[in-house]
Amino acid sequence: MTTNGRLETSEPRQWKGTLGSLLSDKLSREIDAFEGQIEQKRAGKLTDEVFAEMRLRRGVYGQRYDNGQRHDGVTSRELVFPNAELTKGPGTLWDAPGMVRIKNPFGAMTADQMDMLAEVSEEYADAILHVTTRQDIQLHFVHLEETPDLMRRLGVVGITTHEACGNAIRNVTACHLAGVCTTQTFDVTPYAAAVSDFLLGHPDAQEFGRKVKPAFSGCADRPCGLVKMHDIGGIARIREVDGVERRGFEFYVGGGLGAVPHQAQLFDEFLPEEELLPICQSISRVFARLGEKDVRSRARLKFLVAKLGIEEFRRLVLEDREGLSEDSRWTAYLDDVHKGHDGPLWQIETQDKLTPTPQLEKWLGANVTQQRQPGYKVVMIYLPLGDITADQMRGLADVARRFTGDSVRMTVEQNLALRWVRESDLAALHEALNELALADPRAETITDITACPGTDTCKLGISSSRGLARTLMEHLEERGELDEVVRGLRIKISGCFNSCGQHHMADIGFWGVSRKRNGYNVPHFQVVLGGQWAENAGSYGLAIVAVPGRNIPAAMDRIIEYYVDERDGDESFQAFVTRVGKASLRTLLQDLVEVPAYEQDPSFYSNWGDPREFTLGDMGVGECAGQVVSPVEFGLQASEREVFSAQDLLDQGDFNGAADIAYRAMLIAARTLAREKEIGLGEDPEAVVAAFKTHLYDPGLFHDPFAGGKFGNYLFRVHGERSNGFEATPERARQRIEEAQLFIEAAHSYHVRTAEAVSV
Amino acid sequence: MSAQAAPEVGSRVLSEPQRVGVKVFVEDQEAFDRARMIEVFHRWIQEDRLSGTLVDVHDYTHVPEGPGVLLVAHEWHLRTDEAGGRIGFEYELKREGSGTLAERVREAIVSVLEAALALEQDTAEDNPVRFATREMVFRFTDRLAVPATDAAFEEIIPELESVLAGFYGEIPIEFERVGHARGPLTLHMKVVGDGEWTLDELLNGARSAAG
Ligand code: SF4
Repeated sequence: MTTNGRLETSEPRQWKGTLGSLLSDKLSREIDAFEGQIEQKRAGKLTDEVFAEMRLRRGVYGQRYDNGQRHDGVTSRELVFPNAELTKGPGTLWDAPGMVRIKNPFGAMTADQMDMLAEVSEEYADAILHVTTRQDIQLHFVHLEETPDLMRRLGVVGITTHEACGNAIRNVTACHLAGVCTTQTFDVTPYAAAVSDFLLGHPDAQEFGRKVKPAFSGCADRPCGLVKMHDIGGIARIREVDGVERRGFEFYVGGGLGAVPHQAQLFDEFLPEEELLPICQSISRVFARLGEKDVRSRARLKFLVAKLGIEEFRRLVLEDREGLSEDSRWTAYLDDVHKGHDGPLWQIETQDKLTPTPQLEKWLGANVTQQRQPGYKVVMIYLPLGDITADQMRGLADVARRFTGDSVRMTVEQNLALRWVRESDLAALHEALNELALADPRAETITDITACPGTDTCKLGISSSRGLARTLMEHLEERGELDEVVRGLRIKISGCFNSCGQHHMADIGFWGVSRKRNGYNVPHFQVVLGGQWAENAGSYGLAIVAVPGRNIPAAMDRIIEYYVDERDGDESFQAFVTRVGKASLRTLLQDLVEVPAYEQDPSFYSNWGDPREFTLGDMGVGECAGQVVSPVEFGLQASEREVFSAQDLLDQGDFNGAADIAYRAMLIAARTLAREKEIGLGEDPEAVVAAFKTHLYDPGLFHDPFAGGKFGNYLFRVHGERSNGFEATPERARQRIEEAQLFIEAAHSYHVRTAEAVSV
Repeated sequence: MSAQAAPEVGSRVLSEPQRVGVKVFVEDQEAFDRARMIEVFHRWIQEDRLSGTLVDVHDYTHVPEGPGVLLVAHEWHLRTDEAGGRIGFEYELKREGSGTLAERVREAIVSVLEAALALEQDTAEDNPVRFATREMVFRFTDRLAVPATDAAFEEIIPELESVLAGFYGEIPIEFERVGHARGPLTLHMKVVGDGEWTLDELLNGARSAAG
């Protein structure tokens, strides 16, 4: 009983005691241990670095402004939290709101899980569940001290956040249609589940320098699995061996997006199913042993594969595989796989009649697709920017129970797929979804835009990817009915080069950059066209030009109109982009690159959806993209990006432009390193070169152990050429780009040497 | 297992919740300018318009029936909530609180009224925002302290009545349990007796009742 609202018992209730045996012993112990680590950190017994890695492995991230600084549009202000002295990572304040990533292998959710996700999102976060491009769910504005209870409650319904972040095997993704797809070779779900279970917490997968993202796809042609942009991935294959059909995978390694995108390389044309887990284990062991550890921007598996070459990497993995001790888990799951069924997952008793209305017709055409099992359909639910409210999620749990036999998956396009829906239930389902405001008929169309969190919550965000996405959605809506060939295009947006929005694979992609114009930093987006979403992300798009954020809607209009007017018959967008070429696309957008003076139009100097004047000052040391990114790494990555742009210009025959940008890339790298020694160093080239000389070159710090001061001299010479009327020929421009690359490599080496010296 | 069955908490009595949400509705729903709220909330951070550690503004206007525009403070969240298709201000105390259930509810009501008053005073002449004062929605996401059960619903009504008397005096009010059966305990309060109040009058009433 209460007296005037006050509980008469002295002990406050705790989820830990309340949930009791509903939680497995193992998970319970793990979460208790994490809670203990929080206490140890609070008591000052753990360093920031160690605790940050501990919480990241538990899916607990930092979030924008968690360094306690935020620019309010006028000035940078301190956020005064109660535990102002406590930190939960380097430069990360204890009380600052954070993000929790929840791992759902292959994006599967049961209705009970959906109910619990709804509960924890409204209690600990902001009542929004955000579906990511890797079939995870993210909650934002969560307090560190509430995370153990959040994990316990999720654990009761079989969900873990373990290794959702950090340098670990991340969520294993797979086609959302796996098991019901008309084009699949076989259902990859049990294999994805086996890899996920086997490698979770596996001792051989704990010592990585960076994360590893696995993916599976049921077929080669359709885009769902995106295998070729992943660190490791398998495409289902069947091969006849001695007259017997055997299952296996066309197996890839070393793909990835980020600042330096890599297409995955073929590891094995046919990896037999029984070899899947041991080979994944050996890949983990080789990566843990030989992968870069100190320089995170070079530590992904893609760099190791590129450095060793696929032949040598394969040889090392197979050699390691030979030496592995047999593990019964490698094949234990296969018996169940082979017993798997292809028949109806469930039966229901009632059958509602389908009475077509215009609204229903439109939804049927846009959001409903065939399933391989006759009589059933897959229904897509469009989630704007991947967001769904707690109330909607709870309502959807009811829908899942009633209409799907409990088969729901998240998609890599940040939507949901309801599977095993009986055709006869479609009208009733449409009505039920309509009541939840979840029947918008635009799934997998041009207005179904994918965007990473960007400046909304990510510490590395430069431009507002979600703000732009909202603007483009509205803009496209206002344009009215779109040409059929345009409706099927995909737009994807990232807030920075880390590519979490997967812009490389979009027909029309954008990623956030900043450009100095008229004395101000101005938010821009690099336009990337013609990426291939099909064939498991078969190829990446071409970077065209960086356009101020305000002009992106106009740029998009021009691009789609150009395509509609000039395409050749049934020509795909990718083929069109290849045919017309970068030069003509750049010309198409050239006048949009101009930025009016601040006084003329101040809106150019703000991000979409954010009235504050744009600043880079809110960027922090990132934990997003799975890393703790130091400002040095961030700066060096930015310089590499410039080299790519220089290469683009060279390809287009703009030799002076290419040489200029290569020079700028060197300056960025030099400034990045020199700023470590001279905090207030600005962007003036003279000052940057002088500071580089004083702090790094003259003391011999930048000198290569073998080449001495050679690479540093490149900078001095190129800088000097500026005032000597340098005229770029194709050869001189190419040479300058190569020198810029070598200079940046030397900067990376310097950074490795100093990082090693610090860690010794 | 279902979410409803998860927190079996024994005696099912109320205790002191950290999280208490109160929503007041905007009168002219059609005229409400959602996009403008982004600018308003950013400005409120600049001006320290509300008490607490104000962190950031988050735009959820793309989510149908979602949180609209969210102003995040360390201690609370304020949103232009659109749940059920009706726009209002929902103020949810999140953490750093203390006191009895009644004290937390009272704090949440005062806070939402102050925020609503700030917006009424902040709107343009040609499009004033006015809030309705004869109804509120209470939402308790802190399920350990306030379980979403019939027993808790029965038990909380007298608590809320006594708190609301401090704002409305002895006017009859009624409660209806609303929302999803597995959702947090949510009550829609309506004044059924006669009377009209401005936000200021409600706040003043509460101040004088508190002595
Ligand atoms: S790291 Fe960059 S791409 Fe990734 S979420 Fe942050 S802003 Fe987006």
